[in-house]
Amino acid sequence: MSRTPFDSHNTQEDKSLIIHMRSGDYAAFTLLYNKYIRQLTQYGLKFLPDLPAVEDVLHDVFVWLWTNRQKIDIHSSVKSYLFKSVRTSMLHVLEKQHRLQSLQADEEHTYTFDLQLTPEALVLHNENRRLIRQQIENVLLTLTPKQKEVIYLRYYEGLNFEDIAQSMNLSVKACYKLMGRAIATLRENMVCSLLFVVCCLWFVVYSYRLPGTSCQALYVDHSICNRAL
Amino acid sequence: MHELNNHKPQTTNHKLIVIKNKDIEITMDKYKEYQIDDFLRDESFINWVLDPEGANNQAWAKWMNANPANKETAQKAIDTIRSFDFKKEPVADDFYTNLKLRIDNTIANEQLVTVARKPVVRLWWKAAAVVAGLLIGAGVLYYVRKPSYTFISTPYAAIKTVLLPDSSEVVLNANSSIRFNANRTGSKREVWVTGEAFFKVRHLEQAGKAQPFAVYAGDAVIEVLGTEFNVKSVNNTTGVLLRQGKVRFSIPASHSTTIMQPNDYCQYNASQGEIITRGANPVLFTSWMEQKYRFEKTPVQEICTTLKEYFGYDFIIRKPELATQPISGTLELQNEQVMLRILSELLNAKVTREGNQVIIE
Repeated sequence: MSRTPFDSHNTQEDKSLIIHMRSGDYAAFTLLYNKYIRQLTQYGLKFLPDLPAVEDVLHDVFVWLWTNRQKIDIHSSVKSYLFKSVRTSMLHVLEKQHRLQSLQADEEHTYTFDLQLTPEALVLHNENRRLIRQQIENVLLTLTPKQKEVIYLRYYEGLNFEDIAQSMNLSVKACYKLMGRAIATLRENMVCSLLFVVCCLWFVVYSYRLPGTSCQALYVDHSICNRAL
Repeated sequence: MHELNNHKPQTTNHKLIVIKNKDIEITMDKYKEYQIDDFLRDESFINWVLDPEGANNQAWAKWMNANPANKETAQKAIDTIRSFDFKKEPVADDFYTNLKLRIDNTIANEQLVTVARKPVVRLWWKAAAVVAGLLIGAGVLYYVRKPSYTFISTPYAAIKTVLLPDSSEVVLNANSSIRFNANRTGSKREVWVTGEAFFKVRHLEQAGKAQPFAVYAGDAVIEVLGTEFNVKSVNNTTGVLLRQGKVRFSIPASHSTTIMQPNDYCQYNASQGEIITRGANPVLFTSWMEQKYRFEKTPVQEICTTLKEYFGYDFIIRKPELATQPISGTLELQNEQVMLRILSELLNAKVTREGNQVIIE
């Protein structure tokens, strides 16, 4: 797993890399590159699954970082600074592509964030977690790109809410709100699937008793479940 | 433990009780009333799940053990967070290596032009080439009239020879940089160095007086009057080897200064606080210019540090007793594979490179 723990030690280490870079230490730049390039590539690909386009963006971001190392002012953490840079550039690319195709080029229309769970084969054989997984998969389909991105940055990349707000140009409050809505959707879905599981169990028991009516029974249960929502 | 109070949206007047029991230093009443989404919104809780070994994160493990009643809810939140394992697009390791080379190249080329430019996109390269031509032309005009700094650096595994405006010569080792005043007419000749460089300084006289030449490296200043010497300034340590002529090596901050004779090696490190001088074999310090690295009775750890500076890989020594063992020999740096093989023979150990790491075991 390429997640880097996001603790104060790591933040401190990154800050000292920037200080070394300022005194002309190219090795510090390389260390920073090696530390984050994999995560940044994956992040960029979420906006647009086009590796050469992501490569161009990453190239520009890192060249810019080195050439402007004396000037850059990193308020929060280096990690969130890099994520923010990649995000801004990727949105530019999306905007440009979209402008070629249609006249609508505002963020609402161009912004995509493709988020999927890892294929089933890699997941533990834990019943509880498999259930949660299925629910998350369903929820992901209903979330907006922004909500998906907040989830990705908070739970996967470990950025804190303040940094996420910074990198997504949101207020911290708006960031909490987005998160809250995403979690609410998640919880609703959990209640739904819990109901569904109960219905299924009941159906299994029922169908054992009355063979032959199973199909109908399933449809009935399903509609009950839906109505319950 | 301060992190545990970061939970912002529902900050209520919860009590923080400090218990004298050493196992549980602090308990947090508010967490007992937490529902699953409260956990999912709590920064310190998320940090703990993502990084259970993290510095500030141990308290949660204790809390879980101390509050069995809440364990189930918390466990659900943990499972949820752990389930956020998102699909990764397959990207070959080559991609990262090639991208880094591309970045290194752009940076090396950009720094030859003294005028700041915006980063260019691939599509624009042709246009950029034309603009660069114009910029260089403008740069020449600019440079005749006004003082401006030229910054030249080398990427990993490459050496560059630079001719200064006074036609002194500088050979730059890999992963090093120099900055100098591009104005030829100035009375002072000054060069700033990071990394390692070898200088062949031309002796110049102006109105019967020798024109001074100064090199700034880390905390050190080297003042010379036509000579050949090697400077290495890495990690707050600056070392100078004098091959020919005479130089003054001084540390302005600690008011110490020394005059070096040929084949003297002077070293200064801010933490040792004084200049150390000893006689040395100049070949050992200048072999890098022939893309060789020669060492005599050098501890393996030190060899690895030098190779790391040149190639940019992290060298990991798995056998602790090997790190301090002194080794003598020569490594050819031109071909990386050959270098690694010879290193393996010299050390009598297995040397393998995986991505950016070289493992010695």
